[in-house]
Amino acid sequence: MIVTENLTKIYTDGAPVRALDGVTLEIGAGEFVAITGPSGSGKSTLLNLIGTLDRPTSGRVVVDGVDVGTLRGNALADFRREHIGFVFQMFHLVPTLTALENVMLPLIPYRRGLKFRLEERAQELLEAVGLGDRLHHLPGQLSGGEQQRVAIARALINTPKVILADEPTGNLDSRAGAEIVALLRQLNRERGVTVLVATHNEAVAQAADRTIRLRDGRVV
Amino acid sequence: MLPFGYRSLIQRGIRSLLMLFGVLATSGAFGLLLSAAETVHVTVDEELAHYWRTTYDILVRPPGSRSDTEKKYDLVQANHLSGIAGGITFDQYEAIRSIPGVEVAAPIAMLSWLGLVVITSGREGQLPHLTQPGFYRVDTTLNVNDGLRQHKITFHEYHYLPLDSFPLSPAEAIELSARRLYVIGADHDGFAVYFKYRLPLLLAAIDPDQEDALVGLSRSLIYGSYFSSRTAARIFSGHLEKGENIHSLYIPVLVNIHSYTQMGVEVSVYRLPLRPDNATFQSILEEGGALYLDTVSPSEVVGRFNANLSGEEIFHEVGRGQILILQPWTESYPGGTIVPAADMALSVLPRYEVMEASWAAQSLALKVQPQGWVSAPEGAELSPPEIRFRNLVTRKLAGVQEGEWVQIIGEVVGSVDIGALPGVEGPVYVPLETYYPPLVTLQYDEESRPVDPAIVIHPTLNPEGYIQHPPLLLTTLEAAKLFNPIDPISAIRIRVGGIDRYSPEAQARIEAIAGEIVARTGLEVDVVVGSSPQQVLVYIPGLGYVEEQWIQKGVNLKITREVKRANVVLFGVMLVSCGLYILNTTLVSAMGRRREVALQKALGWRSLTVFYTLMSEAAIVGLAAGVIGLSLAIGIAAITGWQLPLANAVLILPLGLGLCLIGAVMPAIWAAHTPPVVILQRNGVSSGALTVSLPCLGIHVLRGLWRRRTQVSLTLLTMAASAGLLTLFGTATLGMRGYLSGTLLGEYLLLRIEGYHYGMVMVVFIVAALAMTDVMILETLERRREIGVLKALGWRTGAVARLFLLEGAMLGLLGGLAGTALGLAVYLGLYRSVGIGLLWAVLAGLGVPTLVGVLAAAYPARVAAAVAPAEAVRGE
Repeated sequence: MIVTENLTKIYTDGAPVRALDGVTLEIGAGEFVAITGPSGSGKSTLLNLIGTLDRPTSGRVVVDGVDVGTLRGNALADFRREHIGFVFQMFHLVPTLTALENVMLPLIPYRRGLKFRLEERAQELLEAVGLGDRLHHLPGQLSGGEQQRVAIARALINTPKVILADEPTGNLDSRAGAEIVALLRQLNRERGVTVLVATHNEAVAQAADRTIRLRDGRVV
Repeated sequence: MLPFGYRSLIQRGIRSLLMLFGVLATSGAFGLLLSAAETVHVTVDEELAHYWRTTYDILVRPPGSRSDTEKKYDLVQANHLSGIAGGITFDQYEAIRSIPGVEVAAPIAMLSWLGLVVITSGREGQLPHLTQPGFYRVDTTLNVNDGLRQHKITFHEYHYLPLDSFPLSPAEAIELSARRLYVIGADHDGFAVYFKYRLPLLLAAIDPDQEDALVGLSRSLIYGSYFSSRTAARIFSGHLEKGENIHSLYIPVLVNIHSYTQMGVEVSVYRLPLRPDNATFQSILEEGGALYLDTVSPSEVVGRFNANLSGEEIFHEVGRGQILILQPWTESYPGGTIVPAADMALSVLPRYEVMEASWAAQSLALKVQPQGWVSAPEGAELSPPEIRFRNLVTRKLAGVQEGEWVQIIGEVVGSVDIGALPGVEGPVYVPLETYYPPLVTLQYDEESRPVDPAIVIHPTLNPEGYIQHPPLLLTTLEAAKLFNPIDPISAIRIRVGGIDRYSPEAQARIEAIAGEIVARTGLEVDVVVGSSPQQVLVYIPGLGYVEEQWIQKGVNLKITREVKRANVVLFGVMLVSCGLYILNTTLVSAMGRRREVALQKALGWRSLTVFYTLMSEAAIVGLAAGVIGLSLAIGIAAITGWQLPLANAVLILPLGLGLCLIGAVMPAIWAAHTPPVVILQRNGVSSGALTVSLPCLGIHVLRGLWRRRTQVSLTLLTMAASAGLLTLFGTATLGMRGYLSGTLLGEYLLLRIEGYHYGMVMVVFIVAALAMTDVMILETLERRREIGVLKALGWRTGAVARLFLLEGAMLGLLGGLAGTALGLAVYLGLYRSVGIGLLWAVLAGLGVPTLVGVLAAAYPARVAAAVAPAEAVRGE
């Protein structure tokens, strides 16, 4: 499902930092993989490159058979919207939108071509993540765990093949964190979605099918 | 799409509000400015069209009569006729009249100064009847008030009422009376003292029909009738007793009884301490007669009497059918005796000398050259002594030989009061010296001290004085032929027919006719239609600095052009400032949403989607603001009574929308191309910015500004643009004001539009201030985290507030500097003139942004100071 070949990323603002250094890996469809490693080991960078948020300095990323490096502009945005769901450590919900609207957000501009009813779908997803009674709450009215569930529901809105979660539990207490991991695991199992989680939480890593360890931008 | 834009707009709270407010202020301001500009435009147009036409369109004067000063500065001298003693021939006059389109061609021929002897006995019982024998001195004093001083001339005459029999033959008595000594016969019952004086009066000839067509002279008739064909001029020649030839000119005369000055006459009668017998009388004659008596001090005042001399009183007994016996005037001042003469005299004012001409400031200072002192005739005293400014030019009457005498018999047809003539005041009057002396006001005395209030200087009776007294006697052009059969005409005032209001074609038509006159006659021609009086400072030695209203030609067109140009500049400034404001607001708002946009991108939104979203937001804001702004403008215009043409006002809608969309394009493109990875960046605090232990807050501020240069440059741009526009606006307004001041028409217009200009400057000022405030507030909102960090590091609230105030001041000053320089450059490029007003504009351009910077920072500073340290560490 996800293949990276010799993926290298060098940040050049200020002193050059080699964040990723020739990472090659392959993740199969339906896998639940944890990426671990200390701070600055390149976890987030790897996720950003796979998620097409950023471009590698060199190397290739293939997601679902598509070399994302060949995508530009609209094609890239469409690919991102249709194939990838993001879950961030900081949740990144729009504070002025309700839970339901936040979930709908990725597709609001594109609802015309949808084969399903966006609002119903969003509601289903929120129910699926256990927030059926929180549809019209603003992010500020939700707990951290609940906010992250909204974010996960948002990631699922377009039935992506891949969910990329960058420290999804980093801002949560251990119990809420465990619930989020369980939710991701459940979604992985029930919907067959490939999940890639960057974390330094051992509990998360243990829940994964496989763990990839990074150190100084390399796979260990 | 739209509903989402709308919702996101509603939900983004203060930022949307600021943007809406900004656009609202802009469109409202735009509406107001539009209204003000339109009002100014309409006012100026109407007034200029209304005040374009002058009493006459073209002034024609003899060759060489236009001075270099007049030519150089496009002026017509205020007292332009008083220096001209004829020079236009009858043939030239006829040639002009025959030009098609010339509706009225009214000639004026200044013919001569004439002496009128006025003898009145005053009111019943006012003057004494002397019966007691004795030597009497009768002093007759004419006094004229020129507004500043009393000018007096006193004549001494002597009367001998003998105890004994009449000592002389009648012929001897007549001869003696010519030398101011009168002997009263014993058969007389004493003698009655009377007011007897000789006044110099200017005689001018007009064409009765043309003059009537030009100014409606016949309508100012008080009594009698206007000139008619029955009143023909003729000449009789005969002989006096002694055999000299005398020519008597009979001319029809219309007397002007208007009083131009305060005049009075005073008679003082003294008894001289001399024994009234014939022996004493004989010895007096041997000693020199009146000349001897001048040296004798009177012993007793017998009486003193005075009377006002208004025009009406001078011509009191003058009515239709009366005649006035007039003598040519050769003396320089009213004399007491009648001296037959043959020379006709006209006074000519020599050319002015330019003292100072600074046309940029619309000021011209001239000096009139004194020609010496006025000499008093024998037996008369002048007090105070008077400076002579004019030269009496004398010429022989046509056909009169050396030694022949002339008398002029004025057959009075009627009298007019010029005060009853309509329509000669106002901002565009042209000189009608036939009826009005030039307006001369003393502004500074000889030592350059201001005279406050300024004193209007009136003409005196002195033909050699600075201001010429208007002619009180008018005759016909036909009569003028008796004086000078060839070229007596001093000027021709021409009115072009078939024109009722201003149009470029009308102007062109008048100019074409003026050209035709030059081509046919070679005379000096001035197009005075569209002119206006222009203040010129004249230094008159012995008096001080007076202001005169010279005629500035072509002012109307120049003002129209200037006001149009200024309006274009102002309109451009308005558009640019409104556009900039919106651009800036949308840009700042887009910057504030970088992370939001990044999130949308991360969630898979296309760039175009992001772009459309932002644009539709701008459209909503623009429309809403346009509608509210329009209503606001209409409301305010209704309250203030300003003009707001609906067609133009509705422009606010597409304009608000258009400006918003244009303003939003760049920021939207920029935002749309935000890389999604921005979402993961920690923004706000750049690493080095927090060196708190700096010695000086100012340096910290500068360093901070430098590190945030991308955002800061935006703020700075707004400040600079605002300051620049304010400067440009100020200078353009001042430039127009400067241009308008100086001429009466301009000042009149200025008075009419001044309020709007202040209004416009206020509006632009407020928009500029709002733009700055907006940017400062948005800037602060973006920096909450940084502020949180500062506070977490232990900064006191006051220090944070000071930081922001200082930043505001610095941004304001920097922006002001850049903007003022820019505004000045544009202004100088447009106008190429420098005035004192510029200084004010520069000071405003520098001071206002600094002040506004501080004021605009005050609110953000409060907000900033209130930020909790926890903000620094909080997530989203």
